[in-house]
Amino acid sequence: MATPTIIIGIGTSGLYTLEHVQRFYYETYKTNKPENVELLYIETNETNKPTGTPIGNDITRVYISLDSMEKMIADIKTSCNNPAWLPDPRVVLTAGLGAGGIRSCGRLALWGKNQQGDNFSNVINAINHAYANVMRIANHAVNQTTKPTVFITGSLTGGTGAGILIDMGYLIRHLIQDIKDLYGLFLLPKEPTALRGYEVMYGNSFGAIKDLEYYNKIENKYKEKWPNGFAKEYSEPPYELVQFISQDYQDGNPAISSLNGLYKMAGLYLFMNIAGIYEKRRERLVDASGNSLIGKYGTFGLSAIQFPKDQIQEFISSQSSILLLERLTDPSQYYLNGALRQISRASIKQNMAIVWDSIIEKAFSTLNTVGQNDLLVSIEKEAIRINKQNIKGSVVEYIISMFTSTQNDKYYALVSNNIKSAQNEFVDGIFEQVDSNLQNTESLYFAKYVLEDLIESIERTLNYWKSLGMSSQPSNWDNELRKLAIGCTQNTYKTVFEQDSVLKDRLYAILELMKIHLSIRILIDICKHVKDSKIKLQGGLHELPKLEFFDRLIERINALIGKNDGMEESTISFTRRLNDITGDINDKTLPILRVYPSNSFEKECAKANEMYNQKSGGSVRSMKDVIQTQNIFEYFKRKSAGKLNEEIYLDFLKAYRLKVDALNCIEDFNVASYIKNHLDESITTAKRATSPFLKINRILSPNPYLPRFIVGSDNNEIVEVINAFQGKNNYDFQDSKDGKSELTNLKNIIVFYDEKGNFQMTTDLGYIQLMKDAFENVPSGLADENITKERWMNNRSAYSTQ
Amino acid sequence: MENLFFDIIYSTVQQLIIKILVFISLTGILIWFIDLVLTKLLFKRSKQRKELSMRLSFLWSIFVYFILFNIYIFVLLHYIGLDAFDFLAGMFYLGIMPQLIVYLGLIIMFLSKQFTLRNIINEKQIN
Repeated sequence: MATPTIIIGIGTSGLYTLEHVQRFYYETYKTNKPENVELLYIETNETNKPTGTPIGNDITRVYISLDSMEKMIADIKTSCNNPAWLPDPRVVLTAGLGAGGIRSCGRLALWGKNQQGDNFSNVINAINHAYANVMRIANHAVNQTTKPTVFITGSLTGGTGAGILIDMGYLIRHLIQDIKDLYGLFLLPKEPTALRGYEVMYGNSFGAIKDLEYYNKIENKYKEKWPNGFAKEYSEPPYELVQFISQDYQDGNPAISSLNGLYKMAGLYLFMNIAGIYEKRRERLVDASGNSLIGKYGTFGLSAIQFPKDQIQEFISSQSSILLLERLTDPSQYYLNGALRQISRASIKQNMAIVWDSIIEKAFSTLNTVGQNDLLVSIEKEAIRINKQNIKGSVVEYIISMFTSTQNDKYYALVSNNIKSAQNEFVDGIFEQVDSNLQNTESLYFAKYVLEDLIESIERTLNYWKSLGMSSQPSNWDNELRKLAIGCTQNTYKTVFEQDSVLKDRLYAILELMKIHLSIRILIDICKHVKDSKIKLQGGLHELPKLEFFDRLIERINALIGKNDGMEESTISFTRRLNDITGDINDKTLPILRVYPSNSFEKECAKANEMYNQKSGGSVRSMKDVIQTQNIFEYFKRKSAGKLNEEIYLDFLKAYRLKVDALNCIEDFNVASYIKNHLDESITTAKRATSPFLKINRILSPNPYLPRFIVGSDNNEIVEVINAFQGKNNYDFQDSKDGKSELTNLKNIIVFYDEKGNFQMTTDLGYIQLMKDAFENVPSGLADENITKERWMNNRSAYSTQ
Repeated sequence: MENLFFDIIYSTVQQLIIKILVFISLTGILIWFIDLVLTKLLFKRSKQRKELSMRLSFLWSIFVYFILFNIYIFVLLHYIGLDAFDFLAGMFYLGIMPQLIVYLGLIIMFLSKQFTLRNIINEKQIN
């Protein structure tokens, strides 16, 4: 039974590392994590949120807010015996944007509470929840209690990770008292070529290492009164073992060129632990620890030979997403029934004029009935009454009284009170036109033109009505009504016995004109709503679309496909992602050798794309690929209410990745066979694992007590690789029980792992003196005159250690 | 009666006036009758305004009557013979004046009613 495990990411680096863990796990097992593992992430930056895999996200986020810092400090002062580490209350941070690189602020975020919530309780609840989950699975599986292991990961350069790493260690020990192991994996900045501009990063890292060193000594005690009322005192170190990695090799040469590469390696390491190497490592580490061969600090080297199936999948999924988004935002062409057509503005205008006529006809006909009362029948009876002279007063006055705005119990009032139903018809009619055209063409420009031309037709109608002397003013209507009433009494066609039908028809005409008068305001509002976006109009079923909605949507989608990169929203973009993937694939400093059946990433992508087109039935991408039978307009409207770019990016990518996966467009590749055919470059890659990712000024000789092994999907293949290496006189990896780790589902990759320990961070780290200088000295040339040496060091400190 | 409709020889002013009045009255009655029939038969399913249908029916009535009147003129020609038509004699015109008045009146009325209807249709008004 696998060990119940909780991995906690702290700070932004912690999140990025967890995202890689989740991603590696998904690539291998098609789930985000095993059931016995929980991924938790604690962050002070509100905007950072976990990005999921195609099947979603399983990283639980705990946001620890730093809003109202002064109040938080005052609360802690009173409830926690005024601890000395609290930041200066005059420090002002922008709410929601992290701890500002100040370690004590990071720690304050963990301890404090404000209107956003009680951070300390939230973190405790999240850990307890994760703990309960992993234990429930473990107990259910083996019917006996299994002790859990916790990994905490993050970087020590910022305020959050470097601020809370000690507290988190002891908090975990407090909450999970039967813990098996508590490991830390922290990322350090690489050896600096120049400190200038990076003093905060190195100063914070030194402060965190110094604090860790302090609490690792058995004579030093962690003694705090926590905000939950517990007075805690620990003399044991916070972590069983803390591993550090950076972008350097042991000799100082660059191991990983980008920070993202470092997160990736940290993610790969944690992924392999939850996938199965943890037990193997532990067997060795227990022995090493018992013989004092590892100490409290460790590091590791890692390299891999990989067929990047997932990157290929993501690459072609991103390309498909771009194709679909380009289809949606093509201003001149659209697809109808699979055929590419030009958008003809003249034809849309013509059609919309006809459509508008039918909408208005339908809307006016709804006004003919008020409740059970059919106004047309009622008017017909009135016409007969008038012709039979069954009325009081003159015919003209009687007709005026029927339709005048001053009577609140006659036709004017009846229609006026019912005018909302006409508005509903207008709005719903316009919406349905725009919606059905968008649904059919999947072109945002086409839908926008439909809306524009409908509005043009409305404006034309309004101008025509205006030329007839119609207006929305009741007084004008009453004047017009008098003329109409007089007209009713002239030329009555009594001679041909048609007086009733003619009068009825004339009264109907007055009713229609009254509807026009009452609709003018609505139509003006509709035009304003669509064009100026100042008024919000709701129909019976839908809200009226706005031109601005389409413009904004097109603009943001263009940002997503990199067409207007200057935009704020363009932080996420498919084009950028394509570049990132290509950059990652071509990154020669990352200790991962990418191998392909065709020897080229581009060829593999082209092959996969071709396969996708064949299996999915064509090269035209459709919204049905992403949202199936859902409504396109409603989908974009829903997404616009949230973080549109992010959500569309994830939805599209997820949909295409799932399709590419389901259609099996990319075949697995036997990496072991590649290694046997390309021994020299494979041995060079494997050798990179034997140098740890940390510049240590101490010879770290291979030690049989420390884990060093090859990870692959099949033990026989691993043995073949080891034998092939030894055939070339390379004996770095041994064909022994400890030298191999089989993870059955780990396809398309072979990993080389070598763990190191038995060194002191404060003496053996190659650039510790530079870090110390950054910690102790205020950088020269700071514009802020208030920064004294004491204040600078206080910002780099979070614990009361010497 | 036969002389009233098939005699184009002028006799007296009094007779001429009587003849003109008879022709105009008969024309009015016949057009009314045709219009009455046509208003009941035409445009029953039309969605256009009743006002327009009525005016159109009236134009049709004039047209129908005009055809009937032309038939009458043809019969008249046949009855009295072409020799009786002396277009150079002034008395001839006095004798045929009732027919001429009706004939020209029908054309003028048709054009006038058609002009009014066209105005109603083209004008920016609904009623």
